[in-house]
Amino acid sequence: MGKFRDYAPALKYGNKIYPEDLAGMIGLSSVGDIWYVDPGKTSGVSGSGTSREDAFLTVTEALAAATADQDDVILLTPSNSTGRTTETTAINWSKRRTHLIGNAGPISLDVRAGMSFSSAVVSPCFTVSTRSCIFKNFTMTTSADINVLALVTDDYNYFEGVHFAGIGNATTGDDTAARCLTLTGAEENRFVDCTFGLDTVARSTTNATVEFTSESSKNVFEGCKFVAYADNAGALFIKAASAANIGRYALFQKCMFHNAVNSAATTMTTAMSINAAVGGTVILEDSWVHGATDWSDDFTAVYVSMGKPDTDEGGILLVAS
Amino acid sequence: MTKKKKEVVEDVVEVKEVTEAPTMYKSYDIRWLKSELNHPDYGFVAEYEEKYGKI
Repeated sequence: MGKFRDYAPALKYGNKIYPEDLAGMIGLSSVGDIWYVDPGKTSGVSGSGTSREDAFLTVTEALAAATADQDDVILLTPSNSTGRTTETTAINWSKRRTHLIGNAGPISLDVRAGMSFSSAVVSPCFTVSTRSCIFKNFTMTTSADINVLALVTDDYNYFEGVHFAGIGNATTGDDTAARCLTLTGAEENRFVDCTFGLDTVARSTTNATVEFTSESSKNVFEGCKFVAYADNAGALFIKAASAANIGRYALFQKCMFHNAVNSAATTMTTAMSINAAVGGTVILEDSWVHGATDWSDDFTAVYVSMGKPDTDEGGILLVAS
Repeated sequence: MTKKKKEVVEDVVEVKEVTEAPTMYKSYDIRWLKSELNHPDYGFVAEYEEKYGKI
């Protein structure tokens, strides 16, 4: 059998194909430098980040090494079981067009590549303050008592298969300020097949999985899962409780909102709290909720586009209103 | 006439109070917590196992 290098002169004389030459593998037509992070290195010593063998230990180090605007890619290539780094400082993702990809099974829930934030971190753990970045296939979490896991303040970012596993501590679950994700003035971000929250830690007060503030506009959630174990009827999946928290619209397509009431969680009064003058429309297209008595406390700005499932036998029950 | 003695055999039944082990303990799904080795409340796992047995 012939070998490719026999027919490619550059390779024949010793040149190599480097990961950055294989851009298409991560869905980009061109990439800059590749930086590797492996929290499971047996040496326990951080490297230069330029190869898997010489990987960094944390995403913080990799982000510091990356250059904005050249499509650098940070690869989480773990060799340990959870695949999570231990980040001891909050991360501010401020380098435009810099991407973070997890190298693990694309399961969207508890992906075995990711970041965990230690108790030394000040809330929020992970801020995205720039644009045009791709975040794909990893878990971010903290088991420490830190109120906000992720904050997005800028636009045009893409998240796919990311598990925002926030509110992972019982004390945080008892805090009204707890959030897995806050969008503040963030526009046109797209979340695909992501999971928000944990249903393994009780939430015993009126906190929220995702909050929109400061006219966050045209953010789209496609095929996402919102999970919770409410221990208080006032816990929420979505909060946009003040005027002008959303601009234009927030779109939820084929999303699942599941509060574990069949595992003894408390039924939420409503899945969402949406101000009548929120400034945009909350569109629920072919989405469903289980474990909440109603979708929202106010329907002025909520548009529900779906049949109402008959409770126990499936099918569609059309209800006039 | 011989008086027959009636022998009463009593079955002694030991009654043990069995408490069903809860899946949630101190606000945590205890199986999940056991998988989170670095969790600051990981100590609850030992506490739980002492009360309810090994998970």
